[in-house]
Amino acid sequence: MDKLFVGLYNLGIGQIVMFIIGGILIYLAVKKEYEPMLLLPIGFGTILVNLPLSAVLEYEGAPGVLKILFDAGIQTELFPVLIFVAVGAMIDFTPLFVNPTMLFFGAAAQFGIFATIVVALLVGADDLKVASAIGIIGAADGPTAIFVATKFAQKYLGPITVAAYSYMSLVPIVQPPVVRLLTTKKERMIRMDYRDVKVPKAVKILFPILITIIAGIIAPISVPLVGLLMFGNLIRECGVLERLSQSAQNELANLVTILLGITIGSTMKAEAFLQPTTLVILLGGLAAFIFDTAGGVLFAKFLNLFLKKKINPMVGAAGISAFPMSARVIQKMAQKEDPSNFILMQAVSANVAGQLGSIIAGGLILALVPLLVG
Amino acid sequence: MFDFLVGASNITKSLFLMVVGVLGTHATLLLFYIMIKVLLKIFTRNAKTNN
Repeated sequence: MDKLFVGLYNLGIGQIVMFIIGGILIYLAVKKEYEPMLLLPIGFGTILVNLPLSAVLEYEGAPGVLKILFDAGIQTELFPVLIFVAVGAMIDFTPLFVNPTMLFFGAAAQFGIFATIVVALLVGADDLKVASAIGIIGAADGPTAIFVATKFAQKYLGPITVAAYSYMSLVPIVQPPVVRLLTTKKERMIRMDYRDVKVPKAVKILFPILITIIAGIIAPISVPLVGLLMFGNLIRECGVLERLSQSAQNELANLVTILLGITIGSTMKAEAFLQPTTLVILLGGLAAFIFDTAGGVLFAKFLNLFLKKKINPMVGAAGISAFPMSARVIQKMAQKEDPSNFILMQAVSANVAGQLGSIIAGGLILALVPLLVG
Repeated sequence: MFDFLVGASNITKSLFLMVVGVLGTHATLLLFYIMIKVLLKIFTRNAKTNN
């Protein structure tokens, strides 16, 4: 009889709390449409892995299906890297070629990553590696966050990934108050010229190749990230691999996303998730997005001190990697102040630059932190 | 490589990481900026010459 109720006997309060958390993630995905492609599989994976004696992780000494997927796809960093191929195939860098100055906002808005590392240590992160894994949530870039967290703080992979994707979907709520706080109405109404320039195909093809070489020389450890992102982009831009480009953007992206989400969910075991550090991670993630936004806006205001033709400082906030949500939020804010103001293309340029900036920042962290920790 | 930081606190190391990280990201993207400008100059000029 005892064997019949073995599941019930092994059910603890922690597991029930995790069922609720899994349910909340599924609710946010379905009802609020917050990053549903990731939050729904993570939510369901959370429930799966917290079932008593869950056979998805281990059964009679043999690894279960989620353990096999974890070892094959996360431990080896294969899933996040494959996602980068898909993301690269989806990105159109043309707005950046038209407005290359916006690259600097993509750099400035990474300030939040580094500021959060300091803050995380101040509020109780275990060490520099864990603090860096928390800070990388500010990359606003899921695969980069997963990649860095896998290397530096694997036991916190679940909460870091959930925080990264949750805050990315909360950009419309997090960014506007910070932007409003740091800008005047007059600044938010600044108009910016945009001229449409035809970008030669050779530039679009050479760009991913040269970026890979430069980034690879500066931070060799970033090559799996930059290299595969740019490989995806090269497939897209070369013009002769349309089928592969479509496959990367659709089949590859969808398949890896399903496996990535549910496998991340498998790290959300009650004993690992219900810890004070999880709270530090969630608060740190929020701080990272706030610092990112502030960094971009303040950098634009700083540049305006020297520029004759002023930049709308809100564009700086779009320098985070959450594409295209951040650019849309900034355009909406600009039109709220002046319905005829159109800064979407500049914001998109900054947003695309943010995707490059976040990977470079991630690469630098991967290169520098082991040297600092010794 | 960072001998002067041996024995330093984690906070000091994180502040150093912040300075180097922010400057490094800007420097790398500056290289990308220069690269885009050069590429556009070369290939836009070529296109005009061909026309």
